[in-house]
Order: sequence, then structure tokens, then C-alpha cells
Amino acid sequence: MFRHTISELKEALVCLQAGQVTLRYPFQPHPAEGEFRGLPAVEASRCIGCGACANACPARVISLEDIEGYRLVKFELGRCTYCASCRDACPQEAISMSPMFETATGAAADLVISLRLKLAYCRVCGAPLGTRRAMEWVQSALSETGEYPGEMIKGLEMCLPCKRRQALTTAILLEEVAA
Amino acid sequence: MPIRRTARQIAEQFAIQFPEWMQLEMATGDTIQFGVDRKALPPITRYLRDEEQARFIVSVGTDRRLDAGYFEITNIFGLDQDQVFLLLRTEVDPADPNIPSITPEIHGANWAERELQDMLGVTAVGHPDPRRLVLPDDWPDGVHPLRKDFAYNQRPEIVPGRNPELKSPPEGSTLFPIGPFYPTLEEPVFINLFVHGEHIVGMDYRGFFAHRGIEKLGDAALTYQQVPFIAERICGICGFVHSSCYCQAAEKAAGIEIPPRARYIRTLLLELERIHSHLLWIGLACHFIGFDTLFMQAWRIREPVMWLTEYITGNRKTYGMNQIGGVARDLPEDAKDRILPVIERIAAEVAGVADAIVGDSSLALRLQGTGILSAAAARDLCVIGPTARGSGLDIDARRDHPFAAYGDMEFEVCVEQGGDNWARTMVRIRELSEAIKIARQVLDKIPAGPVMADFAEIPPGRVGVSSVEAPRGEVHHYVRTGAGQRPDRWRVRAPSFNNLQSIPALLQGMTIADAPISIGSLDPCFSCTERLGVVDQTTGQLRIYKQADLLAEFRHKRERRTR
Repeated sequence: MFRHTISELKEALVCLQAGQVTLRYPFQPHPAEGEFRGLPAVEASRCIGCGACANACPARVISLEDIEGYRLVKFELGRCTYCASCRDACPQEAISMSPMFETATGAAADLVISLRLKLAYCRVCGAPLGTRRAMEWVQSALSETGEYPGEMIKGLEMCLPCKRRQALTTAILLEEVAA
Repeated sequence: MPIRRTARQIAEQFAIQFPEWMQLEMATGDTIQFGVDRKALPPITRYLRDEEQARFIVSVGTDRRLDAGYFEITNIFGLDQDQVFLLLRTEVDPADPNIPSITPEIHGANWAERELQDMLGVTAVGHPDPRRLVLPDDWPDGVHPLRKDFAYNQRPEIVPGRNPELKSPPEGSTLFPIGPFYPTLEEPVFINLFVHGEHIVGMDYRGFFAHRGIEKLGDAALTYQQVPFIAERICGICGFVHSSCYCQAAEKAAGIEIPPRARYIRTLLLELERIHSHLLWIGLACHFIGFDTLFMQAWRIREPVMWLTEYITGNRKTYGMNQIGGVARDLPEDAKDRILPVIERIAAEVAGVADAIVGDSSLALRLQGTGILSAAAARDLCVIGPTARGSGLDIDARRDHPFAAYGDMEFEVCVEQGGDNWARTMVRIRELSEAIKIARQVLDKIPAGPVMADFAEIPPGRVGVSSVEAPRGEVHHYVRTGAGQRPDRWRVRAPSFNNLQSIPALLQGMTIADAPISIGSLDPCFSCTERLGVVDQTTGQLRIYKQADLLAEFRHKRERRTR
């Protein structure tokens, strides 16, 4: 009996020392700190639509679709696991992890981010090549090095079959000239 | 303590012992693989059980009809004293997909073999209870999802109206069903208790209602570095153990040596996970016998650990840290200064709570002498973790199969002899202080350097196995590397897979009111969906208990006993 009372007193002491520990959340906000990974944020102006994020995403949240002259990059974040693989994969540093964790919503569309990027087409045959932004980015990166002739950089605006055809015709023409 | 043998020595000894039965295929580091004819499985298992005190870990079934023309069954044993995993690889002809069952020799192989039957369609001949285990009851016969010709997103035609094959209660006993949503389990699970009055005389189990097909995704849809994320989601409480274990198995298969700093970071997070998991368990165990004060206090003490992991990894629970080759992020710069004061405070508070629990007479009345699992039963059922250590088995993967940085750590393996709910509680309380001790050592000794190893592509066709001591017991993963940047086979054995098989032994002769805490004392994952139906077989009347009624019933028992 005496032992029982002592253990109950000890338990009471544990409670008394603790005091009140709960917050008046959500009236008293409790922001995340440090490197907390919340809802991904996408800086649309930096995205080139390369799809590296979609390849890396373990939860298959990110999809790419080419329709009517545009590439649609879609983040359906309702299934996001906040792993930050997309952020780590992005060559343009367009994705960051926001500290936002209060994502409950009645409308599924609140958790969807869509980007529309203009597509670029082969200047010879008109086949789609990728996004215009990606092409311009590669072209400017190449010309900045100063190591590639302008003609070669311009050649990026053609699809692979057209490039091959052009290279072949040039070679045949050169042969004819030489003959 | 016998002298520790190396993998080579054991391999040579077995080759002499069974020259015509076992062909040595691999002996590297801590893994030995033998090719074994299927006829020799039962006698070799008997030898391993009696002469080597080997512990059965799991069976892995792989469909290798495409690359080799057979089904491959690998039975994994732990030779704990030698720190070696023993793999017995058996080739099974697809025209005659049978193996002799080893369950009559080691009862812990029961579920592993039933899973083989369900998932791969290889029958264990002579199995004492060959009913369906994993597949749903309306799943068609002859369709086996782990075969390579079954696509991960395929949906077979279901067979409507088929009920689980359940055992009928013995003559004169009453059926007392718990589930399909169990009061203290996270998984939906269905347990039929057979009772004489208040006393339990037997039981039957049907589970796996929420089987998620994670292994299939791993070898059919994900890439090597995506698997850790899904592995982490196998468990909602101890996820880091699974991603660590997968990464270790894949690293072993590929021969990747991870940087020492990454080993230490994994160790730190594993121990933080153990601290919060054990505190969570103490709270829930108290809750289910009606001691809510301690439930609240245990969870209050636990909360700062969650904040710590959020600060270290960017998330409370699913850390997203493990990658094959190391960890994705380094510790923050002020890690030691931030972590040490928190764990010191937790250490002091845990000591206070432990002091209160040990002297509490009502807890003692509920926990002592209930849910007894003898050492012999524990060994036969291959239970692990605190469940095994509470029954006097001195096993702990951190010491017996060192991984991460545990080789450099000093800690005690906490063993209790009682085998009852009290013993399992004491093991966990003692382990809390050991976990804090390990966390301190990690922070003191952690070396500088990179946290990711450089490695080339992972070669196909290699096998790696690894264990991690999770809060609930040893987690075991098997990885066979494949082409196409994903595993050919990834097998996960969670500790509850073995521990749940001991429920019939635990409950034998107990009363109904002792059942929840006894099952809960295994620390399976706990649930929030709580509902229980009791059918009186003689009248056929059904009464549905809600959570509140059920708790009232269990607490009433406590009042009666303390009075």
C-alpha cells in the first residue's frame, strides 16, 4: 500500500514538472524551422521543361505532356512525399521546398501547379524538338563558351533526321565539287 | 561463448559435413550461400536448428524462369554467434513447383512458406497450415503476383463471394472475434479468439488486408535510388530502419563502401527513432490498460525527439535521408550543441518515468504473469527484438550482425528472463537509456568527411542481405540486383512478421481482458480505427463494441484486480 502511494506521488511529480505543454494551435501559429521540407514551390520563369524532375520523382507526381504547341508540366502535389528529389534534380534551380505544411484543402486543384512552355519545332520539317526555352538556353550556353561556330548553334533548331539529311547532302555536294 | 568462426571456416565445415547436399556458391564478409537440393532442406534445417542453434530469418522466392529457367527459393538463417548470414539457395523446376516444408522443423517458417505459396506459387509440401496468408480471399487461384509475367499494375478478375478459411472453435468453446480492425493494431487484422468463459483456449488469425505490393513495385516500377523512399514508408513509426536496411543490402550486393560519417549519421537517426518508438509504445501500452496519465506524459517526452529529427533531416518522420552509397544530407553545423541538451533532458525524464513505472502496483498487477512466452517457444517461433529479449534470448542485430557504426559503439543488450508483458516492458525501458548512450557516443566520435560514396553502375545478378535492429526487432532485407537500374528481387522481412506468429502462444490460458495488452506488448503497429464485434454463438446475437465501450471493459478488469 505504502509502495503504491509512493509510485503515485512520483507520477504526480512527473505531471507537475511538465506543466502545460500544448499550444493554442491553430490560433497560435507554429512555423516550421530550419531545413523543413514542405510543399514544393516552382519558379516558373526558370523552368525549361526538361523533365529531370519528373524522372527523379519517386511518387510520380510530375507529368509532362505536349499539346497544341505547348509543353504542359504538371505537379499534382496531393501525392507529394516531400522528398526533395525534384529540387535536387533540377538543373535550373527552379524548384525549392517551402516551409508550408498546412496543405489540407477541399479543392484538389489547390494542390496542382501547371506550367505551360512554348514548344520549338524543326525549322525544316516542323517536327517538335522540345521547349523553346530549353533550346534557347542550350544555344546561349554554347555561344557563351565561344568554342562553337554560329552555324552549329543554329543547327540545334533542326531535328535529328533533318540534320542527318543536311550533313549527307553537304558531303555529297562536297564530293561532287571535288570530283 | 564458442569461438567465432569466419564465413570461410563455416563454409568449409559445411562442405565437409554435407558433401553431396551443399555446393558452396559464395562466402564473402558476413554472407555464405550454398546451393541445396530441395530434398535436403528438411534434414539440413534440422541440423542447423539442433547443432548450430541457427535462427530462421526468412524465405525469399524469386521468379528466375526468364534468365535461368527455374524458381529460386532462398532460405536465410542467422548464425548469430558467428555474425554470419547463411543463405540456402534451392532451384525449383517450374514444371513441378514444390519444396518440402521446413515449418515442421522450425515453426517460425510458417508464414514465410505460406507467402511463397501465395506470391510465387511454389507449394510447401507437408506444411501444417497451408491456408492462404497474404492474397485476398477473392483473388483467383493460380495467379501469383510475384511472378515476372504478372505486371505490377495488373488487376485480375476477382472471384466474388469467397470468405476467409477460418478454423472453427473447439467443441464447447465460444467464438470471440476481434477485428477486422483491431483495437491496438495499425493494420486491419482479424483475430478469432476461442474462449471458455473468460479464458482463451485457442485462436485463429487472418491479416494482410492492406497488402500494398511494395516489393513488386521495387522490382518492376522503381529505380535503385527511388526504392529508399518507398522503403521508408513501409512503417509509419520506424521507417528509417527499412530504408537503411535496403540501402545496406544493395550496398553489399554492389560492393559499395559508404563513408564513415554516413555510417554514424545512420546510427544517430536509428537510435533517435528507437527512443521515440519506445516512448510511443510505453504511452500506448499504458493507454490500453487505462493509465492515460502516463500515456500523455510518455508522448510529451517523445515530442522533442520528433522536433530534433525535423531539424536534422527536414521532416518529423519520413526523413528522406538514405540513399544507396550514404545519406543525402549532412548534419547541420551546430548539430552536437542542439542535440545533446535535448537528449540529456529526455534521459532525465525517462529515468523519472521508469522509476514511477517500476514501483506502480497497478501496472505490475496487469503486466506481471500475463502474456507469457517461454524461451523455447520464442526460439521455435523465431521472434526477435524486445519480444525475444523479454523471453531470455540474448539476440540483437546491432551486436550480432554489426551494421552502420554499431561496431564502434559500446552498449548493453538488455535481456529479461520473465517472458511476460512486464519483462517486455522492462526490456524497452532499459533500451531507452542504452539508445541515449549510443546517441551520445555518435555525437562524440563522429568523423569528418563526405557523406556519399562515389560508385559506378550497380552490376546485375549480385545478392546482398542485411539486418537492422529496429525498435520492434530485426528488420531483414534481401536484394538481388537486376538489369535496368532496379532490383531483380527485393525482399522485406519486418519484425512484426515473426512476432505476430507468437500470439497463439502468448494468449493460451489468458483471459480476454489480457489479450489487448499481450498482443500490444509485441509492439505491432497501432491503429486508430477501433471497433469490435462479439457474437454469442448460442443465441447468434451480435453486439458491436465501440472504442469507448471496449476501453471501459478493459479498465474494469484493472479495477477488479487492484481492488
